[in-house]
Amino acid sequence: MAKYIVKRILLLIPVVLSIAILIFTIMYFVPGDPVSLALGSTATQEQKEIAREAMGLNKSYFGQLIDFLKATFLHFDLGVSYTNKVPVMSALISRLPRTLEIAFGTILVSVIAGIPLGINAAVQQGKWGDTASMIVALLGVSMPNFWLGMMLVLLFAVKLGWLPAMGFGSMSHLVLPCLAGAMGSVALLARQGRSSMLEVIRADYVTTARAKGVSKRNVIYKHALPNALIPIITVIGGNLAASVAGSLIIENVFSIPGIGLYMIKAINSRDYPAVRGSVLFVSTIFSIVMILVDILYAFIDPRVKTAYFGNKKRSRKNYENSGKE
Amino acid sequence: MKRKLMAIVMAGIMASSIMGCSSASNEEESAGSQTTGTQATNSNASDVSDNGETANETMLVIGTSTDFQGLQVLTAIGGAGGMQWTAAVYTCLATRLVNAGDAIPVMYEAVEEIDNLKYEIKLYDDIYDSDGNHITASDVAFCYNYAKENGVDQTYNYVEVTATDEYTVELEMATDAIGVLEDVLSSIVIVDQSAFEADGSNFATRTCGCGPYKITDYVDGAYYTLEKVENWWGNNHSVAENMTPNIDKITYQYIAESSQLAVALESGTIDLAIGLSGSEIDRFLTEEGTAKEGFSASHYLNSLYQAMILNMDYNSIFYNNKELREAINYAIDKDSLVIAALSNKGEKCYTLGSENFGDFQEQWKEEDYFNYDLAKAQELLDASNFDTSQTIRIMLDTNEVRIKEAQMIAAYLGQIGIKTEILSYDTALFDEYKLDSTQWDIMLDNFYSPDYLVSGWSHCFYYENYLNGSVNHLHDDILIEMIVEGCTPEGHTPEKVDEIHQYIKDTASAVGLIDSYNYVIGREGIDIYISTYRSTAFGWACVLADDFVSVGQ
Repeated sequence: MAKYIVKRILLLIPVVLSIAILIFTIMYFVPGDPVSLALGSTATQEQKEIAREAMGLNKSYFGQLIDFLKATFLHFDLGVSYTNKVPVMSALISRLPRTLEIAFGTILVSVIAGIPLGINAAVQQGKWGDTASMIVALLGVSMPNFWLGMMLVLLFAVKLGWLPAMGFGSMSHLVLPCLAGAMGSVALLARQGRSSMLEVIRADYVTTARAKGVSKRNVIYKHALPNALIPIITVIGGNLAASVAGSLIIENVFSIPGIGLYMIKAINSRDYPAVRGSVLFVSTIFSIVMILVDILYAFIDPRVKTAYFGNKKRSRKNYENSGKE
Repeated sequence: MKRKLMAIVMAGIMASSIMGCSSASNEEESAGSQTTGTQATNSNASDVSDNGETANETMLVIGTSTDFQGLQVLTAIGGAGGMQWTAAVYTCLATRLVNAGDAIPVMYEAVEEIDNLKYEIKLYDDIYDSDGNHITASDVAFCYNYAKENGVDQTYNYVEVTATDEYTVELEMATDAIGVLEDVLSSIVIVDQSAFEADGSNFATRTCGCGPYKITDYVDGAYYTLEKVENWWGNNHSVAENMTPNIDKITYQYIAESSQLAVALESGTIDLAIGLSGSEIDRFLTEEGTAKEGFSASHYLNSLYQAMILNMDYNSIFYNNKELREAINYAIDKDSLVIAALSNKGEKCYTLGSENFGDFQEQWKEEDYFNYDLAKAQELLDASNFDTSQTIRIMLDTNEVRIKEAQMIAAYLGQIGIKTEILSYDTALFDEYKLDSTQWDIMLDNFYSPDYLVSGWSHCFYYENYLNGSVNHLHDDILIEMIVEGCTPEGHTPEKVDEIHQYIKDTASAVGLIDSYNYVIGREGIDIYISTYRSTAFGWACVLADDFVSVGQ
C-alpha cells in the first residue's frame, strides 16, 4: 500500500512539470504585450526595452523557460506579479484558504443533499420519489450559478436579512456562496448516486441480505451504499478539484478574493508570473486531490486494496507452502 | 469498523478544514502584516473597533467597483491618480480641485519661474511620512526621476528634477504647453528615497506616504482600511479641501458586481457606493432624479468620454473618402446611445472631448455635430461610392458600455446598408491591436485629458505622444501645427480652440460620442465630496452629519 502511495506521489512530478511547460508555452505565444500593458501606450520604446529586460522578457523562449523551471522547481519561487509587484506564491497562499472554504463547503452541501437524493431515487425507482429527485437534479444542473447566487442574495440578504450578501470571514458568509455553487454538483451526485445504487441493488448479495431478513435501512446503507461509493467518490473528488479552480463566478458574485478571481485578472492583464503560478498551483492541488481519492478507494473497497496488497500475501503463502511440500 | 472509522475521520477533516480555513483567513499572513488583515470580514467591520476606538471616532465604509490593483505606488499606471485611496495616503507636490484648475500647493511654499521651462520649487521643511522619515529635496528629485525612468504615464512632460539645496528643487519641463506644469506638479507621488529603496518592492506590501492617512489593514482584492496619521504635518499648513481628513477611519471594499454594490448599500453593508452602473442607480433615485429617502446622491460628468475613431491609415477605406466618414457619423444617433449604453445617465458629446474640460465652448452645443440624420447619411454614402459588400470592422475592448455602443452602431450602419463585424478583445490584445492599422476600421475607446481639450487633442494626434502615428494613424501636419500653437499659453485662445475643434470636426475621423455621469450614492447624512479632477469621490473629504453612524460602528 505504501509503495502504491509513494508511486502515485512520484508520478505527480512529471505531471506538474508537463503542465508547467505547457502553460509557459501557451502564455509565451498568446498575443498581447505585458510590457505595454504595464507601462501604458505612451511609454517610449526605450522605456519598454528597459522594462522588458527587467521582467526577463528579452530572452529567447528556451532561456525564459529554463529560468522559469529553475525558479519554480528548485527555489519554489513563482515570481513576482507584473501588475502589483507582490510575490505570486504569497498572493496565492493568502487566497487559498478562502477558495478552499468555498470548495469544501460546496462539496459538503452537495454530498449532504446529492447522495440522499440519489439513494432515494434508486430505492423508489419508477415512483414519484424517483421523478421528484430527478426533477430537482435537473433544476440544479440547469440553473446558472451566478443567477442562482444573485437570487439567493435577493431573498436571504436583502428581503429577509438573514445572511450577509457578500464577503468572507465567518460561517454565515459561506452559506450563500456554497449553496449557489453546490446546485450543479448536487445534480451530478444525485444522478451518479442513482445510477450506482441501481446497479448494486440488483446484485445477488443484496438479494441474499433481503432474503435473510435484514432491514431495508441496513440493506441500503450497510450493504448497497458502500459498494456504490466508488464512482460517487470519483465524482466528489473531481468536483472538489474543479471547485478550487472554478469558483471564479462565485467569488466574483460574492466578492470573495480567491484564486479564481486572481487568475482571471492575471490572464486579462497578461501577468505571466501570476497566470503560470496560479495554473501550476491549481493543477498541483487537483493532482493531490486525485491521489487522495485513489487512496480512499483502497480503504473503501477491499477489492482495490487486494489488488495492491492482498496478492503479495497470497504469493508469500504460496511460496511457503511450496517449500513445505 | 475500520471503514466507519475512516469515514468519520474524513468527515471530521473536511469539517475542521472549513473551520480552520475560516480562522486562518482571519490571521495575519507571514508574507506581511498588511497582506491579509487582522479583520477579514466586511459586515463585521465594527469588530475592528475593539482596538480602542472612541465613541466619537468617525468612520465610513465605501464600496467600490474599481479593482485596487495592489499598493505599489511610484510606477503604478497613472502615478498618484491611479487608485481612489492613493490621494489620501500619498501626496504630490500640488493638487488640483477641478479639471484645468490651478495647482494648489501641498508640499511647497512657492514656485518661481526661472524661464519658460525651468521652475524653482521651495519645499516645506517639516514634511514627514507615516514612518517618520523626513522628506527633503533629494527625495522629491528621486521620485520624479524614478517615475520618468520607469515610463510612468505623462512623465514625458518634464526632463528632470534636481535638488539644489535641502529644501529646493529645480524642475525642468519638456514643454511649456498650457496646463502641463500643473499636471506635473500634481501627478507624481513623493516618498522617502531611503525607505523606498529599503522596501525594494515599490511599496507593494505596505504604504509609507506623506498623506493624512495610512493603510492599517488590507486584504488584497477585498478591502483596505485607512486611518488618520497622528500629528500629520499637513495640519501645520493650509490644507486643500480635497486633502482635508474629515473622517478618522475609512474602509474601501472592492465589490466587483454593480448589482452586489447596490445590494450592499441597500442592506446596510456599506455607507457609500462608488461605481454603480446606470441600471442600478435608479434604485436609489426618485423619478425627478433626486435621492430617495434615506440616501444621498451626487453625480458628475466623467472626464473619460467615449469616442469613435476611424482608421485613417493610407490603405484604409476611410483615408481618401470624406463622404464615407461623414456618412458613418450622421448615421449614428448619439441621444439613443446615451439611453441605451448609459441608461440615460449621461450626455452626448459636442466635440472630441468632455464638457468638463476647461476650454469647452457652450456655443458648440448649438452646432450640428453630426446630429442624427439617416437621409443625409444615406446620401453621403451613395456619394462616397463605397462598396457596401465590404464589411467594416468595429474594434473595441470588453467594456460593457462600449459593447452596447458597438451593437447600436452596427445596427445604425446596417440601416444605411453597411455591413459590420464587431471585434471585442480583452484589454491586452486591444492595446496591441489599436496600434496596428490592419486590425480595425472603426475603433471605440475612451479618452481623457487632465485639464484642457487641447491637451487631449494633443495626446490623440501629436505623433510624438503616440507611438505608431496618432490615435487614428493620421499624420496631419496642419492639425499638429494648430494643436501645438493651441497648447501654448499665448496660443490658447477661444478662437484657436474653436478653430481646432472645427478642423477635427471637418475631417470627421475622430468623433466624441457620449459621456457618462458617474453617480456616488450614500446613506443619508453624508455630504459627498467629488473630485472632478480625479473623477471619483474622495471619502476622507466627505462631511458627515453629527448624528451619522457608520455601518462599521
